[in-house]
Amino acid sequence: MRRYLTVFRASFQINLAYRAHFLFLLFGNAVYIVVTWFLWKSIYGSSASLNGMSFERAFTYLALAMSIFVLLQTWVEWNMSQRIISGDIVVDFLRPLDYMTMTMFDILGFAAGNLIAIALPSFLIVAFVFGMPIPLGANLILCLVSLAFAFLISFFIDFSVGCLGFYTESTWGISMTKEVVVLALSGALVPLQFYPESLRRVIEWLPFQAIYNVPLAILMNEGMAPLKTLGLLGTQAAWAALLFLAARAAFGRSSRAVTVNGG
Amino acid sequence: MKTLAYYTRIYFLIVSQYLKARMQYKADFWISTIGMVLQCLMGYFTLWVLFRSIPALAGWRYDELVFLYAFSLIAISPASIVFDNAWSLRFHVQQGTFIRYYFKPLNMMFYYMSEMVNIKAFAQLVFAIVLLAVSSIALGISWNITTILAFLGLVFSASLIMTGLLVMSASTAFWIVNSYSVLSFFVRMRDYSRYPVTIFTGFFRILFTFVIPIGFVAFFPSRAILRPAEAGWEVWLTPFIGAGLFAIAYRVWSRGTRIYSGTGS
Repeated sequence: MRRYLTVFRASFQINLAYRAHFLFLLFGNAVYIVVTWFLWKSIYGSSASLNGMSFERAFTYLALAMSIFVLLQTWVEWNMSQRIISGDIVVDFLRPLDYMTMTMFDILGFAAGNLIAIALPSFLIVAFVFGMPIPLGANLILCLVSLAFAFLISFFIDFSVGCLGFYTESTWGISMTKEVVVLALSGALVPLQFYPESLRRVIEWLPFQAIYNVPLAILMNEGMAPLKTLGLLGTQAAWAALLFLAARAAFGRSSRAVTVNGG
Repeated sequence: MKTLAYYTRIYFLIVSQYLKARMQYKADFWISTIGMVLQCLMGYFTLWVLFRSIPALAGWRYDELVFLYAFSLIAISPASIVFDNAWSLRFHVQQGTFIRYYFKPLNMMFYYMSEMVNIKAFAQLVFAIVLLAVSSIALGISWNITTILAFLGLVFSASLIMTGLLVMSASTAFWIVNSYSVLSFFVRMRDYSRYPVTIFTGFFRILFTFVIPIGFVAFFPSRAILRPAEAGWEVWLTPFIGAGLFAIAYRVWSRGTRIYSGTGS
């Protein structure tokens, strides 16, 4: 375990190593929240509520969904594909560490950096600068738990996609396609309440909404019945478990197909 | 003095090598073309979903916004096709491989950018042209030689703005090394060029008109085409802003290449 924590710490530090990059990340994200505010203010126009959602809720949801998107944008497939193409993947396989676990801790370190640089400041801006009604109580801790599950779900999807790199080497296109699918089917750009009923019913059965919708629902709903919260977290856990098995299977099969270009 | 013909020939020589290298990953190439179309479709889908709930956005109807979206995609295309290597600049700076661009008797920006051509972005361009045609029919725009020429001039100027912003964002790598945050900020702002700049008020209206001039990428030109009566004076500035921004971007790049000192290993 200690070996994995070392991997975690190293990648956490690398993510925050470039000071100017870090500051611009903070700044850019703040500007983006303001821009989102303007767009949605204009979408709402004079209506108090659209599809049963008030402007305040829609804005809070979108500003935070976008920060979760950046939080979880951890370039898993990209890193894997770079190492497959360069052949460095062999070094990873030779390490006395489980490749998937090691990658997970590496990515977790990167995401932890993003949590500090993006998610936390976004939350503070939305809650205190814009004064949006976010209840401050046990829901914060439950939201963090839910975010941890969201990280796992997102990581296992990314890792499974990354395994395709053992066949195709470059995963640029696969990764981009995945991103579009996840964004469209998770309601990260437009709240799911705006989607047509039929589409929403399909989306509810897919894992993607568990990445964005669940943590934000838990965060924004004060006094949600404990049973309902547990149910949502349970769904996330089930998805995480299922996708873990899928990622394991994908890795088991594909890693045998690895070809290393001789050097 | 190297001539344009000379540079054109060199460009195709370098690009054809790149294409050969890229075709090693055939599967990924086809998937990325599909991904590119999906990405464009998602922008369209977002508009479609929004307009299920609202009749107009800042006074602009659905078809007009589709036109705006198509216009902005076309304006983005040259930057995505020809200047795509800008995205890799930070890796070359970080790893020290940028040094090799100093050793050729060619314009450095030309040499660097020619090393990559983003073929997938042609899918985006084709998608955008189809979308533009569809929305023009829906809006009943009568294209004649004047409007077509005006359109081409405006879309070219707008693409200079996009290219300028991209080159500038990427060039920050010479100073701060990891320019990813600047580039991703550029992309996020770029995506807002598909909305009317009038959704912003006060400081942000001025910011997006004059400082990060995304209003000129699609909104001011499209307004002049869609509603000539409301054209406004801004559209006349589009070519100057395009040329000016590209010139500034080129200077930023040149200055960056002068201070770059390699990694020393």
